Amino acid sequence: MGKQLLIPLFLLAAFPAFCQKNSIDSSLYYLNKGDSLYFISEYEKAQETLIRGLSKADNPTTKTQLFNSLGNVLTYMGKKEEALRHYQEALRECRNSADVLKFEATLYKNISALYQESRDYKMAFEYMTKAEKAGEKWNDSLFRADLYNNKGLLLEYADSLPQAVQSYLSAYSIFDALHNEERMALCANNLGVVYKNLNRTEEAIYYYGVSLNKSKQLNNEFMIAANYINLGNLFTKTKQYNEAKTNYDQGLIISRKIGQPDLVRECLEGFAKYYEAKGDYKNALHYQQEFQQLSDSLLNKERIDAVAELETRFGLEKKELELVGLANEKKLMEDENQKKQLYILLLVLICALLIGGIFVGIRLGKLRRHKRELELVALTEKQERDRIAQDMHDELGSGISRINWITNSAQLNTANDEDKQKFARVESIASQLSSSMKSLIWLLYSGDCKMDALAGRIREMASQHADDFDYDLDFDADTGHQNLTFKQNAARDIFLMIKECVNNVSKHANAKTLSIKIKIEGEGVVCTIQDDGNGFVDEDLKSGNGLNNLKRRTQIWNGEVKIESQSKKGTEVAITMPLKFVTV
Amino acid sequence: MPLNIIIVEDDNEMRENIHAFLSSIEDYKVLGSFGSAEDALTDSDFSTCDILLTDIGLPGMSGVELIHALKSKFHRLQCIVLTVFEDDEHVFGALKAGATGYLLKGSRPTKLIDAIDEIVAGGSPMSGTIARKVMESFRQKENVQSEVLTERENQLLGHLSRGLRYKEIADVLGISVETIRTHIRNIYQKLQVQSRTEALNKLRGL
Repeated sequence: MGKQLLIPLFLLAAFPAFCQKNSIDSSLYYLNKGDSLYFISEYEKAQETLIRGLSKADNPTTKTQLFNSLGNVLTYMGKKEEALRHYQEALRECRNSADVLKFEATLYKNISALYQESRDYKMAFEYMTKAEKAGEKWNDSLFRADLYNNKGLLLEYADSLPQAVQSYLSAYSIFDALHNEERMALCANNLGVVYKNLNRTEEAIYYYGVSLNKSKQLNNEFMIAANYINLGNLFTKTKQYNEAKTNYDQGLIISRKIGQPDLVRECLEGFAKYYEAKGDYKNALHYQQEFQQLSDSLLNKERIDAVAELETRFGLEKKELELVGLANEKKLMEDENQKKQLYILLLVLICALLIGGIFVGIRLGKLRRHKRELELVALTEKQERDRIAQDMHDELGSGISRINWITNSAQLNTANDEDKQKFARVESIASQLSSSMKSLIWLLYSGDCKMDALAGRIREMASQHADDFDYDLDFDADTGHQNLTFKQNAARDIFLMIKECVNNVSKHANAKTLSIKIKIEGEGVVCTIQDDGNGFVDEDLKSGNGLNNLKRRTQIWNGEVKIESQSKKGTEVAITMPLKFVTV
Repeated sequence: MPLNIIIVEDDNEMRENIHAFLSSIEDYKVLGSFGSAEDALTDSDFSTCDILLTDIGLPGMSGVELIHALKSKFHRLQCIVLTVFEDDEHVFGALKAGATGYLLKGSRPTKLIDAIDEIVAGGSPMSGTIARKVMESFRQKENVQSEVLTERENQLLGHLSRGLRYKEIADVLGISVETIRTHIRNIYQKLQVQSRTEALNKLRGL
């Protein structure tokens, strides 16, 4: 399933503040203050305030509301166990109050949402049903609509998408009748998401659009951003990348403005996909890395939260067990105690496994993303190479051609023999440069390279030299391994090393015959370049820059180069490279 | 009778140099040189032309399109493509459109004369990379094309793609360099037939 932003995961109803009584009851004051703090996301302060309220509260209605509000606050703080306990307290308390129907229905709904967030869908459905039953008695349309909306989410998680649509549509029509714009915006977004997952693009675009417009009217920037991103994701899915980009652009501006890392992260991933689809791997990589960084920091936070939650849960259960143990100490036998210990041990084990699982999960996720990043790096490199090759082709190539032709015409127009020779020399250098560039460009453009293609190129290059410098070429490549494939960089290095040797022969050796052999011997590829020319003494060998290049290049591939040269008898260069490093 | 040549090249300096160079050769006559395919088509008479030398990348109509347009009318016209590098795709496209040779602009100008002479003598130059591409192209189409390569032609392409020169291939196959030239000319013609069939298939929606 694709990425989706379910804007409100569920509608946790904070009870309407009962301000109308203008009571001087201090617990009511704390309740109102706590709810206000909750709305502005100051959860810790809200918790503190509500607890203070509880200590002053004396009537069941206020107590119910305080417990419920605490439940909401704790849910958002990620303390789900504690939240559940407070909802249950509220349930117990509300039965003594006058508004029992309303409280019960709302509390069941809140508990269902809590289970849903803990991904315990069975319990979530159970409480949803309870809430529906209680809601029938209470008969409040807004509540019914909220319930439909939450049920839609639940059905969506259970992969019953068509039923989820029905549920959302029921909610949407009620919100519409009640002119509740905010809920309509939320519900329309949910409809967009589910239609998207049903591949019903038209409906998805329509409902995202509705949600976006209403969010704009309400000036709710979080929802505006989320809707832009959802539209971006939708267009990415339908491969309308330009539309996707426009929406991500808008989404990113607002997400950054309101400082929502989750939303920013979605945009970054969207951009990465957009640029990848456009073939702009450099930018794709840039956004993928930004996305990665942000994900890592968010994941880290998530991990810390998860571990903290496990610790609290474990601590709580242990305490409960200890209490049970104390109460029954005298009645229970020792084996009962052992059971308790065993249970604790089991809990510890489960905790350890869970924590381990989280780490493994994170590691796997990282590996996956790392792999994708590497792929993008490779594509970026390829694109860069292609660009350089293109530039060389366009700029240098035509420049050299011009030099060639201008010197040629100068040659024709001059009567001076010395000048003619100089021009001929320039022309010859230019054409050599041109053919070198031809090889380089081929090497830059091509990917991994079959043995026969590489050998063919080397042979062509050497034949050209043999013609130009007037010596014979004896070329032999192993025909038994024609399907061997060299890595692109290895093929390039092999080609350039042999070319370097051939250059040396052409320039300095004054040879009659050049022999090039490319053989597969054991676990390695052996290239032998041998000539019958002048040869050279060791001093030249040390100072030669070209020969240093040979060594450097072979070392990269864990290979070795042997050079034997005898004055007046010729030179033999043998380059050996292990196949496991140079082939695919 | 002199050899009549028309040049199409959008780089002024280059065009003038080629024009001057070819004019200086005995037996060659440059009928005209143009900066675009459109100018060449409107301002010159190709019915008396023997050799067209054209760049591939031109403003407006490309060199490949020019060749395609001319070859359907003037069968005996030989087209040589001038290109900066052995850009496989473009060169191959030109060959399919009916070019019988191509030449790298960076090569020594005297090679241009060699190439023209070779083509006039009934041969066609072909490099290893192009040979490889030709082979691939025929391999892909083998099942639907009536024109297929003979075993000899395949052998020849194989040797070319391994970097062997005409003389070396002649030695290996025990035939003359002239025969090799004829074979390669035939391969070029089959390549054009292939592209015509391809176009026809497209037209019928096959």
